[in-house]
Amino acid sequence: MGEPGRPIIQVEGLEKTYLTRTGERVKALSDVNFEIYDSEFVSVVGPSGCGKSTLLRILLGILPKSKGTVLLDGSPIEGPSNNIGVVFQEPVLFPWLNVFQNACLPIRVKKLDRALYEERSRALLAMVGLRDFSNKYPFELSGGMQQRVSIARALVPDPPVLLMDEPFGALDALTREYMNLELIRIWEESRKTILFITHSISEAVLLSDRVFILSPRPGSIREIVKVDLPRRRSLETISTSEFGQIAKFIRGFLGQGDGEGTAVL
Amino acid sequence: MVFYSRTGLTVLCNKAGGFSVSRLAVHKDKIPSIIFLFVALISWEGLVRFLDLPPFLLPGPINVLRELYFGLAGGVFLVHTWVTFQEIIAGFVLGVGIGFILGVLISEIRIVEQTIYPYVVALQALPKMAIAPLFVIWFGFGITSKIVITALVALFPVLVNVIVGLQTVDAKQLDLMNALNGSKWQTFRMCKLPSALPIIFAGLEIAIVLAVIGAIVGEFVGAEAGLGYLILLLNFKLQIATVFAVLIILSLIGVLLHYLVRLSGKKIVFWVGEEKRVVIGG
Ligand SMILES: Nc1ncnc2c1ncn2[C@@H]1O[C@H](COP(=O)(O)OP(=O)(O)O)[C@@H](O)[C@H]1O
Ligand SMILES: [Mg+2]
Repeated sequence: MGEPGRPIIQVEGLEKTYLTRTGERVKALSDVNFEIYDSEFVSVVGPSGCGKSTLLRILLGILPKSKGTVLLDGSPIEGPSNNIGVVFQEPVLFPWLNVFQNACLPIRVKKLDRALYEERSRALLAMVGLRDFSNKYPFELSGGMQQRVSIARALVPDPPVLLMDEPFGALDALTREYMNLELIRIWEESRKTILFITHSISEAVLLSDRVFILSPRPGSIREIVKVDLPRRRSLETISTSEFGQIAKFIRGFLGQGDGEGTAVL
Repeated sequence: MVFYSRTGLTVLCNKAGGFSVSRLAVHKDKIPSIIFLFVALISWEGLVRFLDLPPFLLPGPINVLRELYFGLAGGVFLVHTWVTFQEIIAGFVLGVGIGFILGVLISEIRIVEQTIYPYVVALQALPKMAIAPLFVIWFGFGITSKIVITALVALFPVLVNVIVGLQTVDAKQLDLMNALNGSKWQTFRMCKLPSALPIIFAGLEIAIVLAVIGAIVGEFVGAEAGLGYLILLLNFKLQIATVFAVLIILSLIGVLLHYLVRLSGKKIVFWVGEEKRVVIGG
């Protein structure tokens, strides 16, 4: 995937209606329109249940849409793509595989070059601070460590596009801060296109080029906020007045009723 | 080595052939059941002597142990044990194999489920022992008919647990395999089957116990050798003390095999029970 500024993900008139087992229709997304450009970091914030995970699953190609167009690099998304990596809200590790084997799962499934990618997997595990835990099993790890394994796993096949669904929600504040800085570093070095769902407004502002604010269910894009803070960002960025202004502006759209918007970085 | 099973039967022995005090100390909780065993045996012997019961009605434990010794030393028990053991193992392996393959096919291939699953359910409700006489007619008085009967009773718990196990796979794990663009076969091999293993092993534990019953009942229906055959024969001759001795061998086989299946299950599905200890944070 080539030059910056080119749209990588294009979504037009996207709608998703779930049919529940009782025959009820739940409209989760309604008329969603946006574009995400090559190497861009976009965060999505919105009240709980507004369809953020639904959007991610449609982009991931594991959930069929009801209406609209969804393009990845110009072609319609009809199923899972090798160009997309994902970190789910929960770690989703296999309890019968150790940390290293879990991180290497994409290598086995996608039949990638073992020697090359296993080396990469080792480096990524070291990056997320789990070098000494390669032989441990998921049940021997804390929830936060498990999520870091799943982040390493998503990065192992080096996908140009990364979708992340509240990946740091289960981490304690310090680890979350560290992971944010690591993500900034990874993104700046690899120039991936990242769609990042979060509950934390400050996290969204710190990481993103743009923040998409979704309306309550059925979710649609309520506002797109451009974050014009200089790169490379660090923890000092948070204490600038520009940062505070943007965060406040975004919070204004989410209202007081949604307690989740108040999560601290 | 310390063998113990859920049935509460406890067998203690070690390489030296005696009780090891340190090992006993580890299993302090087993002491009440061992004391109970001795109290029961002594009361039994006392009761038999006090009431002066004839051995063909109820032999005392000393009598039984003597018969056990003579049966083993004379080699008679070993011959029949070997026959029954073969039936149990062959029947178990066959039943588990067929049950597993059927379970996988029913779970994974819709048309197979639609075609044969209703009949499988119907067949499961049928008491398998009721068809045992047919197998003796079809496969003869030899070992084959007993293997088939054993396989049939061992098959269903495996079949059912394979189906249930494959259904209980975590939807989030399936999402992951799907997102990684895994093929149906990869998803089965890398995700669904390992997820199902704990439940499949629970089925194997039931299957091995049923396999022992299947082999014995099969021999009751018609056989030329085996512990079940021996029990019938001795019963007929009113050698009840020897029947009890055979029953001891039979329970030892049952406990040992169940223990082996349970142990291999614990080794293979090591993650079961550990997952709930996960700490949130850091
Ligand atoms: N499989 C499903 N069937 C029916 N309704 C669903 C299903 N998945 C999600 N929903 C509903 O769709 C809405 C959006 O869900 P989701 O995308 O998970 O929200 P978010 O991730 O923003 O919290 C919610 O109201 C949820 O109840
Ligand atoms: Mg969600």
